[in-house]
Amino acid sequence: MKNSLLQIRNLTMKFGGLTAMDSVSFELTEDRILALIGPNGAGKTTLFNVVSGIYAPTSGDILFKGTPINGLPPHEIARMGIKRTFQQSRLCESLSVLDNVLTGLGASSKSNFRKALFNRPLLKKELSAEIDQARELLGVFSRSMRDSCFRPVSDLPPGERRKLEICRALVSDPAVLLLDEPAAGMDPEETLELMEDIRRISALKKGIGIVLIEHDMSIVRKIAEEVIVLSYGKIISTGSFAKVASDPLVQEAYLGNVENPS
Amino acid sequence: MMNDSYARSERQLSAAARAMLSFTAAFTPGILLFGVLALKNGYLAAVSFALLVLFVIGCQKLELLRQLRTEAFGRGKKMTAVFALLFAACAPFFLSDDPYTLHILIMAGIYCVLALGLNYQVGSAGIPNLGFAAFYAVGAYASSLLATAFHLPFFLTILIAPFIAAFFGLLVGFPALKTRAYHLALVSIAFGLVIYILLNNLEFTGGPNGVKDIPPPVLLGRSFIQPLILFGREFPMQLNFYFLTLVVLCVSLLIGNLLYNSKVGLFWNAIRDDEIASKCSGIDTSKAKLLAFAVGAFFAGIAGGLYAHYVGYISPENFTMNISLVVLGMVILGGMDNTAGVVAGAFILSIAPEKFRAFADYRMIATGLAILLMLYFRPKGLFPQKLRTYGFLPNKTVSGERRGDE
Amino acid sequence: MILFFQTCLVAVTVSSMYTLVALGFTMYVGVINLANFSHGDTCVLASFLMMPLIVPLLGLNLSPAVTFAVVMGVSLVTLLLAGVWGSLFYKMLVRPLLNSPRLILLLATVAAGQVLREVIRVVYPNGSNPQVFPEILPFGGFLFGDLFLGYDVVIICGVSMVMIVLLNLLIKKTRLGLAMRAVSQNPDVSQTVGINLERTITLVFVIGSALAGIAGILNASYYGITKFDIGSNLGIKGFSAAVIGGLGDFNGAIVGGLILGFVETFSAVYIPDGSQYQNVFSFLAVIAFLIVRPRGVLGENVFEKV
Repeated sequence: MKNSLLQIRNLTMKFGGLTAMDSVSFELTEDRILALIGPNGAGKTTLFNVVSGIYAPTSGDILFKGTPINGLPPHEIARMGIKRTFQQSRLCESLSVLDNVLTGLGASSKSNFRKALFNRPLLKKELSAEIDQARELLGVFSRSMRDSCFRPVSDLPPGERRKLEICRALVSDPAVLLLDEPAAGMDPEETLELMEDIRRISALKKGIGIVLIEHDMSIVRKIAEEVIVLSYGKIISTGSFAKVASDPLVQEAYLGNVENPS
Repeated sequence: MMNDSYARSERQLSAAARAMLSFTAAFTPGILLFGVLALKNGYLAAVSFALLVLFVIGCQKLELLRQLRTEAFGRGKKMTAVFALLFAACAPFFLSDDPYTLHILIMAGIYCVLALGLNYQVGSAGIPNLGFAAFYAVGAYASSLLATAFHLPFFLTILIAPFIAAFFGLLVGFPALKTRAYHLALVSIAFGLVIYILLNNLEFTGGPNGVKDIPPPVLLGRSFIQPLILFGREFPMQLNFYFLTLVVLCVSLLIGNLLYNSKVGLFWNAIRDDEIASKCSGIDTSKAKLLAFAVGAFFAGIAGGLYAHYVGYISPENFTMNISLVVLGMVILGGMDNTAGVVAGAFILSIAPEKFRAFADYRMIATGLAILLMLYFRPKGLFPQKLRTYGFLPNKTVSGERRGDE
Repeated sequence: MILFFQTCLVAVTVSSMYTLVALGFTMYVGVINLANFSHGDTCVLASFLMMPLIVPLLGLNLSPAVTFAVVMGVSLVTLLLAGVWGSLFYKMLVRPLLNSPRLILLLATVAAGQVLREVIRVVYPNGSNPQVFPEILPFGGFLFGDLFLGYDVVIICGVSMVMIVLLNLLIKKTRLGLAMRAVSQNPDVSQTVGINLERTITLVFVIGSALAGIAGILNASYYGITKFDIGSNLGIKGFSAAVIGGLGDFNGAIVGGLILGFVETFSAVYIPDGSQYQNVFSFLAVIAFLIVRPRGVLGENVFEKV
């Protein structure tokens, strides 16, 4: 019996009069890749935003390894072990590739200040180790990024930017990784590489649970062990890809009512 | 490739040659700056200035000076800094008959400390603080009131005042946490004005008359307003304050460097670039911002104390919004989150008004225009922030690349 | 008791002026998410533009009806000039920086305001000193027992009411208003549906500057005085009013203006030595609001789009 990482129970998110998520419930266990699909505006990214703490849910519970986390600030949730990427890659444009990965190691700031001024030797030791750790992780995904990790982020092509975002999220060894449309805008070759990368993540970080928002069904079909379909904020189908793809409710959500096209 | 030529040139240079380069890098701008300040002949001063500008540009662009750049400002940074310090310590002795120039240098130094403080907030963390003069004022008033009312010595008040200023920094910082960029700018302006009005009206701050007869620092029995006697010669009393300011500036630069080359500076930059991504990466943005407010205000407090005990008299007019804008200009002009840039900006905007006394009426216009021009053409400042290369960590090689390379 | 009502009248007048300034801020923030810190200085610019035009004409001692027409005419000319300034301001200062980080644009408006202020001071003869602004508002008023309601108060309050109604109409009923709302939601997409982004934003600045002009002229005529540096104070008050009321909503400008105006006026009158500290009270109110309810009284809970 695998341990539960994330338990979402009746999670509802309302923005004023708009209900973006309505009583969503599911569970993510260890060592699992879960795909979250659904038409645009179904509430997928909102789910990520609520789980990562950017919004506090209107009602419902989120349990991380048994501990309720709804209402906690984003940085605390991140430190507990839930990391994410963003649909429009949010990198620190003025920093180098390496520095972006280092921001993923956001430990307590108070001791950082004391260390910076009064305990330089310790700071140097820790920073050296962290840089090595970061470079090693970069090397897993992209040799060129590791070798030129001091270059500015603006030099990177889009495919590498995605990898960098993943590295930034992974560097702290999170238990849960939320990937928001990582394949957006990629050509078939890059998509294959992304699938390899996701497999690499699973192999590298034992026990990690991944939730993947994706529109590219070729990835979902090959990678996801379980698929959840959202439409208008509600879950309309769960199960394997085959089961979900043949579900008439799902087809209707994507294509509209086939008998009475509106 | 880059690697090869670097290795080649490195083999060629001996320790002595490296020292020479550092010496040149430190003394050339130093002497030229000296010329700008000290030369009485306007034309010669202008020539000196032009040469200085050429040197700075040349260092960045000219192939001929590339070795100077990679050596003196790269690996040999520390040695260059030592030479610069040496120059700064010796130069004023040649100004013994020119206390006015010494005064300009002292004020430039104080403004450097101010600008470094604001840089933590605006440059590093991206917080638009438009009322920085408030912390400057708190430091100045705190130090002088402690000295005049409680007769505490300068070297004690200058330690207490910055902490009071830092407290006020937190006062602004807390509401700032809940506000977006322009709300924050508004809060900072409002705070600056509140402080100004309070200082102008409260009795214990002396109202519009301010605080008079602020006692000068006393060290080893000698007061700082007494002329300095060294090597049998008598030097103007400004020299005392010059060295005091120099020491404070060096400490400030050191602290700035330490903070920049650490997680503190890195996280500040991360927050500046993308706050949401930083939060989701585990950075406690609230704590980091409060820290920026506190540290920045601390520096302003030191500068305020220095100013108060140097000039001997302060009033609310010394801490108006214009001052906030001038310091802001220094950071924008010099370089956001580039220590050398900020110092350069501070020097330019505090020396230029003195040199162009004839145009004093247009001072604020010039400052405003300078800021605008910078924001349009070079928003990162004259000396943009460089990428961190962690050269201060023990060198390691991975796949043949050495740390510290471009 | 009379003091209370008289204070109320002053408060309402002061509120109206802050509201007028706040309306301009609301436009800039609402449509292009810009905090224009030179707005207050634009108000002052208008008063300084009007002075050389109106003073010689008033000196001709014309009949009241003609004087009225002249005042109206010159005001309109001033507003037009303000509009031209707004357009120039946008084209030269704002547009090049629209795609830069917001911080840069904010700082640019601050610097622009400073330059504007100083240019006024340097160009205008004796610019550093307060200038007497001619009496263009009618003397006299209504007398209710002991309570005096000046015509100038009526005009100022009336104008601000009218402006709010007009602006609401503009936003809700006109094509330009629709374009502005579209741009405020999504500037890029709005272009694809045929909205002329350039023209829309230019008009935002023209209207915003005209609003600043109205505020500046009324402010100068009510107090009878204008000075090159009151713009920053006025701008901050106006911005504060907009923030308290709820940015992005014109009606919020009234609420914010009222709150700010009343806090300031009543603290000046009723608290001993209050007049010196009245600004402190208003600014503390602003800071308190920004902590407790940053979205303002009428503002919606803004969820940052992630």
